[in-house]
Amino acid sequence: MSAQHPVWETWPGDVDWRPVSPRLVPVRILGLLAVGVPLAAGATLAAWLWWPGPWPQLVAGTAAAILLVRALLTRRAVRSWGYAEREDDLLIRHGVWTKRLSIVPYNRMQFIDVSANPFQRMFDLATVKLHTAAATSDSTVPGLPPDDAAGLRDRLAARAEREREGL
Amino acid sequence: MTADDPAPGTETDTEAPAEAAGVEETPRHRLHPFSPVLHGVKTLWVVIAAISWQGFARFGVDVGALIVLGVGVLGLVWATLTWFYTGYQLHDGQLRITTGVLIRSHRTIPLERLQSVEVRQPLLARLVGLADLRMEVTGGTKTEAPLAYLPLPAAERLRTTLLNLSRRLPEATTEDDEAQDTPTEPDDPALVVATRDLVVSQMLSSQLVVVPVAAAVTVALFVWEPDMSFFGLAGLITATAGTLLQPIARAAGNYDFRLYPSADSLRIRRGLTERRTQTVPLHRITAVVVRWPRLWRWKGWVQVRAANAGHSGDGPEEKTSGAFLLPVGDLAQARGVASTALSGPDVLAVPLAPAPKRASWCAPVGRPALGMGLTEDLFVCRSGRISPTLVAVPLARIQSVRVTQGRRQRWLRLATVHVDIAGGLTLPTRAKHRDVGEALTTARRIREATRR
Repeated sequence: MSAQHPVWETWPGDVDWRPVSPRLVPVRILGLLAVGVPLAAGATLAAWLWWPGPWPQLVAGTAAAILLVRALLTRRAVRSWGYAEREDDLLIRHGVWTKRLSIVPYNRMQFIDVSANPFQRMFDLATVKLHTAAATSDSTVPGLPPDDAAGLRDRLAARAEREREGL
Repeated sequence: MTADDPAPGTETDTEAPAEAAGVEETPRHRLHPFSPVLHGVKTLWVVIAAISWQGFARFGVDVGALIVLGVGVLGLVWATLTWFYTGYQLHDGQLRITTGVLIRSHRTIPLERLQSVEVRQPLLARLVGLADLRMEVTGGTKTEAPLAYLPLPAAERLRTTLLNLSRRLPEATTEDDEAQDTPTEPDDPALVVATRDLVVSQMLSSQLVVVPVAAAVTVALFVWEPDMSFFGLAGLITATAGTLLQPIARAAGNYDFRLYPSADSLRIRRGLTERRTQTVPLHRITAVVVRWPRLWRWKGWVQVRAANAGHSGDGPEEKTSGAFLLPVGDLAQARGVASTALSGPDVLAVPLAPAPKRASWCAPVGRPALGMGLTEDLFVCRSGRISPTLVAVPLARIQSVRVTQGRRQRWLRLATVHVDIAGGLTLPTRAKHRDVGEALTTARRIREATRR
């Protein structure tokens, strides 16, 4: 776990942050390439067709550089993800440049999604997403092995159930 | 096919008495038989608008009139069929609405998720004493199945019944009867907005201030290049009409604004041509927004809005920031309305802590307006230098809390606290640029308060 800013670790003191699987790195990179390479190729092709001279190479070079930087940052981005199941809420934090921490109380959970896109399936990973009544809630835990994902989902569901009964 | 096939309708009709042994069962109701005419007139306007002057010019007036008449008759027939196949029924704490001529649809509206009920009287309906009833349900993106049209007393009775059922009273039936006997309209409103204030406030809206500028540009254009005067004039007229439309619509919509508070809900009545009565249960309000528009400042006016988890209002403004509780008023009125809406605490008295000085690096203009306050049961945040906006969120309505920190904020050791509330409104429910420690402490305190 990266300790880039101590204050994000101190809150709320007794939290046991759990990381997501490092296998998420290739998944993210593949996802990035799947979008980035066609875009870069398209831009280069357009430059080659309409702008003679050094432009195609320049465009291709820039695109490649951006992709490379993003790919290198992926590792840190993945390592920045963490979640912690506490007694009655779930904490999720992530972000390299912009740090985000979200706190979702179990009694506000509406439903839980477990999903996996083709790249995630290739590396045997899944994403757990919590939904509250608010559309702006940002609570996704990507890159969990399917067993962990299912376990998390079941625990969360059970806790949500218990909390609701307490109401 | 459908006209000769009344089977679905009769089936439902015969089904109803069989189930009538249930407690809350009511027979299947039809809408008022005059509704198709009102709907038909509406179609007629659409057709006329679609053909427009150009169409009339091309076809000739008599052919154009024939087309309008033909489409009008078709519209009336269709509306009558629709009316024939539309029905509603209360069943076991739920409202069932059956619609559809070609494709039958049975919609069940769970009343325990009812956010607000609005009784609306468009001009034509008002002339004949009819009204339509609209419901908002949690998570709905649009107003659920308007029942158009019902006689006004019936609509008001149904509203009372629905609101009572939505409270999930254990003895719903007896309570219903009592509620129906009591007058639905309290006689003395807590608040009436004077027409003069409303008009003046809308004249002070930012749109109207643009008009002189547009006029000046046109005059300048005319002086500069007389040949352009036609385009200038056309442009000015279009621009003026466009900018005038919204304030005028708002003034007409909020004309004769009255607020009637009751023990557990707010009732708002307003409208010049279209009379609307909206009832919002207090326990559904997720946030109260108080705004000080720049141009109103010398008058000392503010406006107050309330958000709920449904979709409220139909203007783009109300869609994003909630229904008006006070379209224009002084601070004392705002205080009263806001405390009623949140049942108790005085929102404007909550002490707000300003953002630290170094936040100016992130928000050079807005920094002085930023503020955040947290009480036993409220999260309050303020932002906006030009038109300050204060948002108060009851802690019990907060769905989740987020703390974010951008790159620049990290250098300055600042962070932003967001609270998420239900509903699709885009309210600034966030305290920007707080000290990191303070932000995290606030998040924790909110979290601890929502646990209760």
